[in-house]
Amino acid sequence: MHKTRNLILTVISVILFALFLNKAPEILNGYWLRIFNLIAINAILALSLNLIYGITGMFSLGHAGFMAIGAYVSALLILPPAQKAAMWILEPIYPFMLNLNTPFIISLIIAGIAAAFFGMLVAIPVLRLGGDYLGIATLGFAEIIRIIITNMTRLTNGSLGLKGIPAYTDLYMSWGCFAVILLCTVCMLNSNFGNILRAVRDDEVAAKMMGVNIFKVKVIAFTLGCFGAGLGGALMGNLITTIDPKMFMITQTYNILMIIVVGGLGSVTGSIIGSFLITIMLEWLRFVENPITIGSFEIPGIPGMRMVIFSLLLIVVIIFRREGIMGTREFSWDIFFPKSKAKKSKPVQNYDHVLEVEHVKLKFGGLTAIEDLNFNIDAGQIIGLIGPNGAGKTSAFNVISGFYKPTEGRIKFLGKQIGGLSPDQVCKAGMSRTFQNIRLFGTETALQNVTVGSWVRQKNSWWMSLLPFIFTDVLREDSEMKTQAMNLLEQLGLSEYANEKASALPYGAQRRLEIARALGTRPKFLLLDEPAAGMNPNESHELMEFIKRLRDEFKLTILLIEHDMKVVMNVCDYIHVLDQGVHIAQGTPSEIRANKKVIEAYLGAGASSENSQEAKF
Amino acid sequence: MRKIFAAVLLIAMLCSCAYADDGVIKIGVFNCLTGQNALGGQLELEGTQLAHKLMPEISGKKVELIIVDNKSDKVEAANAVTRLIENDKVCAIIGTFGSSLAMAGGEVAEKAKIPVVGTSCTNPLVTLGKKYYFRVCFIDPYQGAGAATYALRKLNFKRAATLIDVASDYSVGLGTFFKTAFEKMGGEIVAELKYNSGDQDFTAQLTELITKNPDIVFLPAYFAEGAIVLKQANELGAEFKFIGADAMDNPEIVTLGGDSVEGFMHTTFAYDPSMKDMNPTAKQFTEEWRKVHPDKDPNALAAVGYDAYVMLKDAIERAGSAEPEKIRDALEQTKDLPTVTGITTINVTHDAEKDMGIVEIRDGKKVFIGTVIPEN
Repeated sequence: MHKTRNLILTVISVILFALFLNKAPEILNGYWLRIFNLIAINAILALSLNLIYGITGMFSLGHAGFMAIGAYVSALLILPPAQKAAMWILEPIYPFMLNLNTPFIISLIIAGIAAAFFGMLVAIPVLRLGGDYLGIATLGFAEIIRIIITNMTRLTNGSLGLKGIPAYTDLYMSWGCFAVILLCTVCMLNSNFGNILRAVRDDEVAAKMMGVNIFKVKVIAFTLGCFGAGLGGALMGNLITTIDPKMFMITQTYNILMIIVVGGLGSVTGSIIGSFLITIMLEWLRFVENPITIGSFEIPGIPGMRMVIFSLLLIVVIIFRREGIMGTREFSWDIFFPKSKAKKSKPVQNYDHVLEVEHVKLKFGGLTAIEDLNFNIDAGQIIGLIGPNGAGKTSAFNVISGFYKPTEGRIKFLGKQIGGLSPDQVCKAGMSRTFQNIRLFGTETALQNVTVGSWVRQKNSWWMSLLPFIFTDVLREDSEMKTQAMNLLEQLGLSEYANEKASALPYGAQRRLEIARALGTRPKFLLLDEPAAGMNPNESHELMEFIKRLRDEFKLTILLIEHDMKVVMNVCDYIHVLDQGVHIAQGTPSEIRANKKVIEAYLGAGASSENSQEAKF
Repeated sequence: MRKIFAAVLLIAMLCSCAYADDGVIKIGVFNCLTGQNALGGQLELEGTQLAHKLMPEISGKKVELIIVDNKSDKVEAANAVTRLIENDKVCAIIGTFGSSLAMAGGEVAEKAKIPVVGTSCTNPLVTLGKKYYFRVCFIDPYQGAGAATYALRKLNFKRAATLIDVASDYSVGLGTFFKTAFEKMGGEIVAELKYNSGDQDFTAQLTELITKNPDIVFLPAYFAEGAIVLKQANELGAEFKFIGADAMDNPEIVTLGGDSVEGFMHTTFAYDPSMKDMNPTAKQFTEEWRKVHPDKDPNALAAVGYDAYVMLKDAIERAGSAEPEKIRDALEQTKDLPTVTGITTINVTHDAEKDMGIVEIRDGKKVFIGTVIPEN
């Protein structure tokens, strides 16, 4: 119901804006038309950088470089031969370039693709870095691109630059391109692929465990962002009809960065608001550089004053509203209407054979974390893995779930060898886990957290989400996934939190949400790392029931690490004990309770009065 | 807090809209007053403002200068010119330092059919194919040829080399045209070496130059790098002479280079306060400048800023009107106009043809040693 309403409102506002653009040349003078063109171009650039930095979390400073590629490709494709012949006065242009000529639209698309291609080339080696290193590396690449353009005189006219580019950029062109990019971006971000991107930003480790191939997703996002940079660069070059390599220095990237920081990192709405605000402000603030007359009093104009005020405003924004105008929120018609509630439907299913760990050894250099671990787990069991601190329990989890590669030995999951596979591949095979310290995707809602889990089973490719009107299957699959995720939340008693940010949930709910997210991948085998950590006796009592219920309802096999012996002894069918990497004991809870080795490991040799220990457990 | 802030902005905005007047000639000035080219842009603006102060009226009408900054940025340059034309309705424009900025602004002016007089934008592409862009300075090919003519004809040097900043359109252009002219006149180019803006160490290039043993090295650098080159050449014991171009025309090079800039020559706009026989315009400019800026020497960039105004004034007077189209036609006819930097005539490509000055550093001071007319 409210979806239809929102769609109608959106269509109406788009039509109104289109009408405005249609009338604009009559209402506005050339100066304002130029600024409106710039706003659209800046918005395209901001959206594309926001996709890379704000949404996927890759700190890239290379945008100007990719803009340069786009601007040059497009300019070289549309410059008339006569103009080309006149301009290469230092060295002659390559003859094949002379008569190369395409329509403007085609040149824009090629410009975008060229930038995307180079973006991908850069991304593949560079995205192995993260954080500040990535920023520095991309900055370096952008500079390399600029220097190459400067030196390829026969192709690019070197430092002299190009001029007389036929000006085709009008409001229809710039805002049309913007509309296409906006539509694709919004569709993509609303699809599950958008969730995946945000998940990668919030917690790479957890995303990996949800079956996401982090590297691939990052390369895709970076490449798409570069497409936008190329397109924006081409439009900008075309708007001012002359380009040269110096135009694409780092300051160009800063300008766009400023827009997305002011608007809000990760918010599409923010990028658009930021583009309007900054483009208009920069021009409008010019009056402070003119002499100002107040009454008979005249203040002389000071050049550069504009930038001082602008910088001050930026500082104010950063101090008082660090997350930018929109934060990570988006515009929605819903803010004008009261909220409606979520609905229900049916449950999930199935499993069969499970895990064999054969002589697994894990070493970090000279340190042995696990020495010869050897056990099998049968379907439908709840198995405990216990041991004192530093016994190697979490290491064992990490080996099984693929974060570490076993130094020796084999791990078979459902009869298939998985030792050495990466976490996302292990996840695809049907295993999922939670983490000792909660690792939710904090900025996403509870529902989105769970749908990230369904990424592994998604049939449609990411690129289809760019054009959901053609590939309508994407929409269907997305809504199916949402329903399933909603069901999961309901089963775990989390439906009331569905649309709240994960980081805002109470502690206990966060723990359960992490399990719900793990279940979202539809695992056959679940690893729980200290599910009772931080719970009071009451809560841990509930947890015992909950774990048993999980096994039964979702037909799971569960391996859990736990320090709360009450939980372990009550829930587990069978227990394995590790001490300093050595597998020292295994048995039913009552056997373990009586095992001397276990008591010694926990309390030290000599403390072997069994009765008193039993009381402890 | 926010409301107060918004109110302050609103009031400020209203104040900014408070000027509007009839019966005045509005001339726009767009120049780089901030950003990386600010130093040059500021000097030119001071020249233009001085001219406006001395000649505040053209044909009996008051002239209003509307000054906008282009932040040494192409997008801003295009915006600035659009603003001057659309919002301030100027009839002509003066500017700018930095050829790429002139190209960005020129495109807008061309479409709006508003004439522009360029100050020191020397790249030949600025006026190429343009109906409305003129300039009061000579262009890079002319200056490159000038340096070549001086080296070969006056100094009798037959073997030359070039050391060029490949990242600068200015340097690349000058280097190429020097080479062409020098070879055409029968000289020999023995080496062409390169560096990048911002480089600090030139010993590799200089060592190679020393082995090639040229008589003179053409160095179309900006003064910051140029001074370092000269210093390092001196340290390496290079015996050849250097000749530079107008971007070396800055008193700072003596401070930066010390003794090693002794004997360095460069071409420049034909004005320098040390000139022996100044033309009357230059004399007036020098005197008036010293009155307004007692702590600052008059300089060539300020001179071209001044000349741009003079040239525009002359055109408006001859046109008898402040209509852009008529000003344009008159600008095209500019002939034998006395300006600070020599007698100015506008040629078919809208560039000024005028004498070129040669300056040499002697005893730590710039000395104007003469003018040269480039052979083509």
